[in-house]
Amino acid sequence: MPRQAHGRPVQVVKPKKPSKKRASNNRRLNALEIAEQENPDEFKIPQHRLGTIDDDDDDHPRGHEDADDERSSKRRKIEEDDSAEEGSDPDGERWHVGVDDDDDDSDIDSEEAFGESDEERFADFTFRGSADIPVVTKKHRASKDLDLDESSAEGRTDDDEDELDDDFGEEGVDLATAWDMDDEDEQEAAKKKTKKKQQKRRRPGGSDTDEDEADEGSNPTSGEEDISEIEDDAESELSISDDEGDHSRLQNFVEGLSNSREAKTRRRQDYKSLPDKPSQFGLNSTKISASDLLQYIKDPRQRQSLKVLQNNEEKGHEAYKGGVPGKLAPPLAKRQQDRLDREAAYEESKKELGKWIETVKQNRRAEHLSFPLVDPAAAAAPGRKKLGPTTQAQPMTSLESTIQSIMVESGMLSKENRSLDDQEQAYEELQEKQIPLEEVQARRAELRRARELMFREEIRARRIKKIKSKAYRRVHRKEREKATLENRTLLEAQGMIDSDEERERNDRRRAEERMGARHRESKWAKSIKATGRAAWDEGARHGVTDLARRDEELRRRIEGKVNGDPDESESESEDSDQFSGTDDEREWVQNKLDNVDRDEPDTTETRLNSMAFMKKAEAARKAANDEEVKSLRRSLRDEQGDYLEEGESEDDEPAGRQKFGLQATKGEPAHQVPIQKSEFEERESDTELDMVDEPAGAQRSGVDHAPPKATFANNEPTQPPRPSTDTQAQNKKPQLKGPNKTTSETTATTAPGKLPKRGPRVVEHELHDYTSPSESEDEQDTKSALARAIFAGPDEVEKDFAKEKKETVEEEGDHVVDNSLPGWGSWAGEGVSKKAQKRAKGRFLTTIKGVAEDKRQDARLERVIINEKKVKKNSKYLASELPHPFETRQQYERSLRLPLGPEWTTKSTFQDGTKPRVLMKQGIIRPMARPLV
Amino acid sequence: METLVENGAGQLTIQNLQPPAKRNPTSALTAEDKENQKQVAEARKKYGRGRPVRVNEVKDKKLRANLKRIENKYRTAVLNAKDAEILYENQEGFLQPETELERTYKVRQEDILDAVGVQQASKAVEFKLDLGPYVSDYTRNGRSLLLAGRKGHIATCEWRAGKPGCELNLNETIRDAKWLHNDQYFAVAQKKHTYIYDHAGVEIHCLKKYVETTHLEFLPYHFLLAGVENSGFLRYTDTSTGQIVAEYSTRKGAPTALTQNPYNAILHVGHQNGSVSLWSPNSTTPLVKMQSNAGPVRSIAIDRSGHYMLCGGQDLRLKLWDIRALKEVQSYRTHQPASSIDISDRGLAAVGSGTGVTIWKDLFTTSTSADPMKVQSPYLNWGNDGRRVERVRFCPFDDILGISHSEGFSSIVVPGAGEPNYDALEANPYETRKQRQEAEIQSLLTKLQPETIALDPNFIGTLDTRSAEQRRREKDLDAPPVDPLAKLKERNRGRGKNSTVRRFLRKKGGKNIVDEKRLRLEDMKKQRAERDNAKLKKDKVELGPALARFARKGA
Repeated sequence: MPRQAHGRPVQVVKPKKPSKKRASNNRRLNALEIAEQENPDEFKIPQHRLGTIDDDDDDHPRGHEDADDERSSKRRKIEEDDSAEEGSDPDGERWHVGVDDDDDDSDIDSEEAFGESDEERFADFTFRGSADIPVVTKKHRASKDLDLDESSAEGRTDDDEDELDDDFGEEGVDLATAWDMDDEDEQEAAKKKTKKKQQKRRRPGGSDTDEDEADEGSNPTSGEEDISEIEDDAESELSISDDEGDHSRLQNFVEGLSNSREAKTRRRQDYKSLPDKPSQFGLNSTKISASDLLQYIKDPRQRQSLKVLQNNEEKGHEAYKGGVPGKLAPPLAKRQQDRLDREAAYEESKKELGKWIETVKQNRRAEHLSFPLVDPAAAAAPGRKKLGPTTQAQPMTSLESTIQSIMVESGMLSKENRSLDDQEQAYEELQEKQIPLEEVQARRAELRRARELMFREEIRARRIKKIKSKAYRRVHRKEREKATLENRTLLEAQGMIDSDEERERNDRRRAEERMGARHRESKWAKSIKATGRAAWDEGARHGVTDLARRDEELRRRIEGKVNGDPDESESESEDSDQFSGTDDEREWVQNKLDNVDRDEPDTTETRLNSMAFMKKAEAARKAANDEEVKSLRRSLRDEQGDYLEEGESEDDEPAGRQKFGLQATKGEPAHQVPIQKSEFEERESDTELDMVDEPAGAQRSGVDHAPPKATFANNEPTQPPRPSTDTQAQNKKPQLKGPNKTTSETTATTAPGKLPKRGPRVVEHELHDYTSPSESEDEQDTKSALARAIFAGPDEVEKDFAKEKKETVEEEGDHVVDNSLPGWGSWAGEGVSKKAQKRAKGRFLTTIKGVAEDKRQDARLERVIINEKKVKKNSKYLASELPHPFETRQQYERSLRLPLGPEWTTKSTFQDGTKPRVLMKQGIIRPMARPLV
Repeated sequence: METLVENGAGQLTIQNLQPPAKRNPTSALTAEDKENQKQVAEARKKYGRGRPVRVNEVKDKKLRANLKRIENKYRTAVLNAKDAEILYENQEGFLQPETELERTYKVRQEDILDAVGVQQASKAVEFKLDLGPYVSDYTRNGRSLLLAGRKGHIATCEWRAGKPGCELNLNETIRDAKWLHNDQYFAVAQKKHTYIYDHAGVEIHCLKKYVETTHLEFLPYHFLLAGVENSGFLRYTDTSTGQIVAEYSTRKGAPTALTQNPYNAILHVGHQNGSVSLWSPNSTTPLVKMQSNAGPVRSIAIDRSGHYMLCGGQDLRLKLWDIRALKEVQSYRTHQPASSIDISDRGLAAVGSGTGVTIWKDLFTTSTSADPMKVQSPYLNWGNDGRRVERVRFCPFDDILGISHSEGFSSIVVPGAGEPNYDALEANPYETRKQRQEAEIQSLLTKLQPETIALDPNFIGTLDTRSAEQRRREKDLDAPPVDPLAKLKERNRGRGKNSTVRRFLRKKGGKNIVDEKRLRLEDMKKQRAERDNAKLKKDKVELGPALARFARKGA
């Protein structure tokens, strides 16, 4: 029954360690252990059963022999746990359960088991004793019990018997001698206490016993102490009694007499038994502690092992549950030892190698490696691009040294090669480190305050500076007024200033405009812009356009009188008084008409418009519009006919410059020879060269025409020839041709030697309906007429090309192949009805996919046929499948785009691109000494 | 969802339009960042090679790292290229009008020659030759000039040095003449055949297949001499091997113009019906057909970058095409058909029509802008003095335009025409003999195969996007299976036991696999051994008893 209780506390105090150690330490007993484990029934249960009896008698001698310390320490532990253990002790069954449950117990070899069980019993007794003096009572009872046990022991050895005899002899010691002995003990204890205390310090923190228990001699270090231990007990009792008085002391003594006697017997036993029975390792009772040896031994290895020993001693018996306390375990078997070594070595080497992982990774990922590797720490020190500060290093060159000397002289650098700033900072840092925190904070606060004050002062100073005396103001004001007046008179003299009322009126108008207009920067406008409401809200859109219009108007007004663009609406054109009314209007109308023509195809392109009903409506509207346009043009043509007779003034457009050359241009046709010149040659024609010689005014007029016309021409070519309009253009031609033709004709006739700038305008028309170039002003040109006569004409060419394109589209489109063979799966031959034949025909159709018409590359290019066939010979250079690491085609093809050759890139790029991954310098390349990262 | 709703007035309104998603405000860039970004963008615009890949979307870590690295390389490459511009020590300079009223086209050659340095002025030469209208050609480095008169006169010279090369009279109609890869060889399309002459005027080759060739063109990187015949056939000959690479019929009758796109080595052939077809030696049909003019196409020119094509036709039209988008950009009118067009390295276009030549500036730059506008006036003018212009050619790396006409050859100074900075690795105007030889070797080594010619020259290495079905269809089912043992010919080696068969047996025979291949191999081996033995015996007999010991197997 005590077994379980005994076993437990040991585990409670040191739950894991002992078992572990035991596991490792007890390897030498493996065979026995294993055998025990394998069939525990045979050995253990009978043993334990007997244990109650056997335990005790076996226990004592053992306890005396070698396990004194152990016992005491265990007793201590038991004491700690006694409250928990108390009730459970007497139960026989419990005892059983304990054995079966506890694996550790089963592991314990018999010797150990005995020792534990023995102490368990002591514990038991202790708990039943008085709470006041637990130790004494415990010991007392234990000794009693011990005696009993001894007397009742059966399997006793001869030695035991001898000891018993001695015990008896000792029991007969008289009181006086006992006192004496106690005194001696006391003295001894006093000496040793100091020692113990020293040792206690070294002791691991695990033992948290109180003073008494410490005094009880838990110190396991040496045999001497073992011996003295029990005396210590007595002494402690005495010490207590000292406090209480002589009487109590005596009483205590008497009470503890048996105890002390028992202790003495034990000591005697020790004295006697130890020399008689030397321990396994030949150590006699006068043990030398490891710490004693430690001071004499210099060899580090031996010291190491000694330290281990010492540690073990200090730890107490937990380390050596199964073995002899204070002794080194015998070395493990070589295999096991090696294995342990390997494990430890593996851990170590793993740790060591782990340091390299980053380096290896980095090197693996590196694009280039050049051996011998450069230590990054050494290499990265000076920046490559920026000049390092001169203060960092000693001056290398003479220039540096002179610079440094200059800096030192000028006080920018101290002699110690540190800039003053650095020094200051360092000084401050140092100071701050020494100063307590509060002070630093206080200082900071003060600094802040000072800064604040300075700032305020500055502001105040600024304000004060602004305050000037009345006289000052007056003088200045007068000066200013005088200056403005002077300026004004000056301007007035030059006639640069409007009259006052006019100005006022202007100002007023501008102000009104500004008030009336929703301004661009207004909240409303901003919100419109942010939300994009104008895209869908009609009201908002109107607002926006209105705003833009007003803004434009306003700006123009602010600028003063500026003539409007020809493109502007009628109302604006009214403002510009430079236009001659008819000119402007006609031009504008013509423009508009052209725009209308141009715009029409656009509307048909939306999807909604392509629907049938829309088309119908559109067609109707268009017809009406066309009618309108036609009539307009007709009337316009009539007008223009008259107008063009007038001469060049048609082209006079509002320009920022004054014109002088009306007479000259008018005069031009008169002396110009009607030479047909194309646009390309016109300028260097003789007439033009003549013009250069002409009076400046005339020439300027010629040149002056250029810019507006250029802009006019610009407007047209912005519309690239739109292939889609082709058919429509052809349809339209009859309508449009008329006016165009006539205009060009008339211009050609009226101004045969026309100025070159007129060209573009006509070109624009031609460009617009590309297909009829010959209808331009060149019609009279004999060559072009000839050309027209010779060539089939654009329409024919276009038609041919369209046909060709259609053929190619069909050829490259889907093909349907009829795979059906007559007679296979159907009747064939004569007499088969047509219906059956028909049915049999389309039974096995396969379509070979080609390129659909709308998927063709040239689907939108009217005048281009692009071959959609794959060029087989090129496929030799294509990658048949996406190479491994790439996920998409783009990635792969992108990786190929950088050319490697020196012809296409700079030298550095070329070298970078072709640099081998690993570069090695000649010579010995040593392995890396340490991780680089 | 947005919906289109028609209201009573017939107007359509969009309803339920979602407001534009708000983006997170981006943090302000520092000035330095902005500067850097600007720099990169500028460099990208000029030297960039396509859009970067979105690296962040790549899942694979390693691939992501690699792609990032590549992107960085692109970036640095682009920036380096931009930075390297500092090494361009020469700049092109154009005639600039001082005032608005001044016109550059009024400046005469004499004025220019007075203004430029003596050295440059001396480059403007005038050859008066009377054997018919001449055609001219400069070598790629602009050093040598080839003149060929219609009536059979051929002359070469290093025109800068004034060093004559060769001169010969063929007494035969010459239709065209062209330098080959350097000034050592030139091809002449004569009355019947096309001939190749060397620098001394010695006929070294006759291309008998080229019958009545009207136009010649040479592709320097592929060493291909292309010619179109009166019959409409287009032929390619590899001048390094002498093989005819491809012959295709254009099926459009006699060609009227031929030029090459220097960007992708595609040939543009002009036809009688005003169409231009684009040819590569890899396709029997033209890659692209364009209907450019209404009349026969008289001349075609393509700019150096391969972006624009100028196409002059008999219909007095000069069309500017964007040949990347295949769209017509502009249409100009000429007062006479443009008989010859050339575009200089710096983008000046010389148009020879009738007896005059007009040189146009900014034809292409203005058309790249958002609103393409016409160039109103030419840059320079020349001629109109009764000499019909046959061919205009800009001299590479010089501000010289060579005009060959009915009365010989004139070269005029055109400021700003030539590329001022040359790449000596590519074409060196000052090359020595040794350098020329080296360059020849180098270019032969880096010769491109004719199969690499395609509309997009960057196609090489890209992914084949054909579907599996298409590939299956296009696979040649009649092709004989490849016999791995067929190539095991006997090598003509003196000694050694390592015969090809034995080697193959050892390397690829398969240790313990006895299959048909193995059996065949064994058989071959046996046969060869027998043959060797027989030969040995025979040798022994031949050598006689005394010398038989010297007979050796496999010798």
